[in-house]
Amino acid sequence: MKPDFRKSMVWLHTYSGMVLGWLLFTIFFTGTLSYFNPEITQWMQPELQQVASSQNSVNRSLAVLHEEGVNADTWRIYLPSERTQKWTIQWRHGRDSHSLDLGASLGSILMPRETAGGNFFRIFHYTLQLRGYGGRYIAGLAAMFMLVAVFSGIFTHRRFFRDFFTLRTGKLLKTLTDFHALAGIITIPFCVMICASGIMIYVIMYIPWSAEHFAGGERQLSRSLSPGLSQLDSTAPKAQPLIDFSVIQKRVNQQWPGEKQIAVITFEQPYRASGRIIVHRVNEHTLSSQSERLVFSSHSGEPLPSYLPASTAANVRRVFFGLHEAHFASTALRWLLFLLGLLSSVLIASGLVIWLSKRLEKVKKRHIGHAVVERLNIAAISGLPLATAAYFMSNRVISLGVDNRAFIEVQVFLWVWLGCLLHSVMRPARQAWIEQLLVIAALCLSLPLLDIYQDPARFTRALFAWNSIYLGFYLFMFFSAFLSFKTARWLQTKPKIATPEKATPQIATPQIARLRAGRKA
Amino acid sequence: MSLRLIAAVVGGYLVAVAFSFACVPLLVLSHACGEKEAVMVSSMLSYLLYFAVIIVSFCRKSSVLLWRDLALIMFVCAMVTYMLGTG
Amino acid sequence: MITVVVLQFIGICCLSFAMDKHAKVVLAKRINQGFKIGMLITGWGSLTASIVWLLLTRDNIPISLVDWLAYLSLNILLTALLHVYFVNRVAH
Repeated sequence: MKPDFRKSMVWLHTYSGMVLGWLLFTIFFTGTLSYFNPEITQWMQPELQQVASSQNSVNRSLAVLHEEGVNADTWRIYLPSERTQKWTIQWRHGRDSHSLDLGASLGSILMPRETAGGNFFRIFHYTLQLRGYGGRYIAGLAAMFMLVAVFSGIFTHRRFFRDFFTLRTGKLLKTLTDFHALAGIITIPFCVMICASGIMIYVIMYIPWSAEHFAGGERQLSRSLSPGLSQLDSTAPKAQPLIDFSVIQKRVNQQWPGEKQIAVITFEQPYRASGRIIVHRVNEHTLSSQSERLVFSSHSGEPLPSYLPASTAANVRRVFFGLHEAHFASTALRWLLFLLGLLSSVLIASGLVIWLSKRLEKVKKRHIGHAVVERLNIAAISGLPLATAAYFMSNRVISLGVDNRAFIEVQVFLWVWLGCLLHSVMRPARQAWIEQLLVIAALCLSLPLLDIYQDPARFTRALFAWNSIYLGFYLFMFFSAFLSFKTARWLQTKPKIATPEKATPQIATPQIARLRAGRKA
Repeated sequence: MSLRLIAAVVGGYLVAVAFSFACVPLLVLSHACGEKEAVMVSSMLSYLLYFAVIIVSFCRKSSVLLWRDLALIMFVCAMVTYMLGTG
Repeated sequence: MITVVVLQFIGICCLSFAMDKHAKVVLAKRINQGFKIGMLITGWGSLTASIVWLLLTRDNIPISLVDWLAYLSLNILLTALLHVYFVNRVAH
């Protein structure tokens, strides 16, 4: 059929890209947003206070837990970080779980608005809003075919390795193709890393039979390769959990140099003599998804035997997992990964548009397939950011007391996205693009303005305290509004991509000549 | 054409599964690692094989020969697993 | 880290000038073999220096290597955009 290697690669690139392009764009876009998961959540819960610099946070947490979580089976303290600004304590009796968000001043309890926050995007990008594990399998398949698309893309666009640094600005199609090649080459290491690491997260789940046969299943395998702590004796005599954390803090400071090294403190069976405290370190020091842990007795604070080291293979998988999530990343690296993620998303989007344009150039008569692809392109590429902006907007608009607020916000996202699809079907393609881009611009612009209008004190407080996360979110909204608007204007003024009816060649307008890189929002 | 697609997606998956079994006794017998670790290593490596099968599926001249080769690989893996796996 | 990134950028730029097509466009002249070799040596040398500096001055090597690879992508992007800018400016 396709004896020539290059021809096969071209075919493979075209079709793997086309079949899974919309899915991949969705996964990459929401996944890229997930790099700033805690920051987005922080913005979506403006009632949170700046608690990261609170003093004596552990002992204050223990004081509250001693009051509220008497005879609980588990206690948990999530210490705040600059990124999350969330100080949460939890306690659990059996299946009954409770939590409180603590504030900066002594005894204050915060009630931030109920929201899925940035975590919605993270979970969406591998569950695709499906029940059960279906989404993970689909995402895994998409990751594998993205690798195929990247690999075959190198051969498809091989010519561009030699012409690499050019960006022809005459025709829209040529600009897009050059940009696609440029973005593709730059994001090769990033995409390969993300797709491979994504697959490795669920390495056993996707192909479970070997593990079942040799090791008794995924859970069993996991337990043998990454041994947990010994079973707790829950019949041990009762004891009081400690009140003052300083004896443990000293030990922690010895083992983990630096300030604020503790991320989470878990008490297992705090009201028994056999109970233990597991202290988790912050993730910035290791590529592995598992940060270091120390174990102590819950009533005396004496160090206990810690976790046995995991096997090399398990650690390799954890490094893949860690690379994918990038919790270790410094702010600069995080922004860089975010940029690469956006570039990858634009890469996929431009590929979809190029496919359609090339097809339309060749065929004599358009048929329904082209229309379908065209509409799906619009719904996915501009619809998804539009739905995201609507999600953020709904966070500020839905009143605080409403039941199931978080669920409603997510529903807004999903229904708006469906609305974009319907809109794209009802309008001519070019108009649909322009209108959706203009709506994105309007939403992104009005969001910060609405926020200031709702509570001016919030903004001034953020400004004077130089809350970089809050202000950064605003700036990014303004930037997105600007970009969407410019793209919409550009689409309004430039000539159409050659349609089958027209035979005239493209005319380079001054707008195109000025444009250095055609970028769709 | 669709034979190739099935070869790539389904055949590749089956080859990966077969390899994830066969590689375990190979690793264990060559004293590379313990059995449980070998399962994790084999599983991770099997995805490389899946990727290779997808690429190759679209490069072979004949899809019949392609399926023949995939079946051969699966057979060899099955043999290796059966004969060495219970060790 | 800044030194590492700058050295990397210089390296990528030099390597790009070692390519006939790009050197012709940006420098507006044909390059001879000597210039090409010079650019190759400087380019790879600068990249090596960047890695060596990273290994010497950074505490956490694995994370720093990930940083290096990410900055590599950024530097390739910046070099590419610079070339595009010059192509549009230099008449040829």
